[in-house]
Amino acid sequence: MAPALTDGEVKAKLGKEPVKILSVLRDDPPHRIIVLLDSSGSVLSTPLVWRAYLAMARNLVTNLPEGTTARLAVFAEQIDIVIPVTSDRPALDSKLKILEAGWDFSEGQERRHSGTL
Amino acid sequence: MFGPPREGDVLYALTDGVDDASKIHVEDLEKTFRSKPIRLLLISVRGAVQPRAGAKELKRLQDLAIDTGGATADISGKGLEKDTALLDRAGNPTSVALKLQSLSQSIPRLYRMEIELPAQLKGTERSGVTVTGTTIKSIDVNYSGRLAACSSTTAENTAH
Repeated sequence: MAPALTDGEVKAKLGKEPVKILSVLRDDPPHRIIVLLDSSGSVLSTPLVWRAYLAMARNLVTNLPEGTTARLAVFAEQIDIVIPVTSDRPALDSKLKILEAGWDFSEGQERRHSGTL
Repeated sequence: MFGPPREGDVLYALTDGVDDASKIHVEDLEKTFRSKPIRLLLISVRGAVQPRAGAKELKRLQDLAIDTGGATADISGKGLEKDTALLDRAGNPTSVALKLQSLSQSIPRLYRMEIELPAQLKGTERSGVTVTGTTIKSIDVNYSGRLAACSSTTAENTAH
């Protein structure tokens, strides 16, 4: 189970006025989701940022409740790659791994992976 | 990708909002989302060197997300610079790496937050709730959303 936010980790304001948080609860998950992942130059220019986005996308599509349909789409100038999210976890992990490995961050230069997923 | 949109559909956009050379423009997204029953959840991660770049576009996307009934999370700060290390000399994850890993698991989830409103409210129909959280220096996390209708009212003016 992925860690969830708790009321002790956040502070809330209404406008500029602080308000008291009484509780933070997990909400019902949606049944159909699309995850759009930005892979443009501004994102890829900072490897840490790209890895953070990738980790979030990975966590989103690999922790779906039963019955949820999902797609992961990677875009820059346009949608470049669409990965159907299936219950076949090894296959999904493999595709995500290819995506992660498909970029070369050496010396601050990025290079688009030319393969298909 | 799924056929016609349905009530309850959610689109997560993981983007810094910077329009490098995209063929999809914010105006097109605004038209699309305002006519479809899709909630937009926008998560942005921005390095310290470019927090200003794309700020205007990002704000428009954040406003759009809230208009769709969605929400936003914006992660930025000096801790996200290009040379920030993910591993220390011993090969163990740094505190920044661990924090990002934790954020990547908790932020994309949907939450329902119960807050206590002040007894005297001014212009709340135009007010939004901003939630901030951070447990590590140099990384700031800002969440934003719109108040749903109050599901209960008490002497303390509690809203869900």
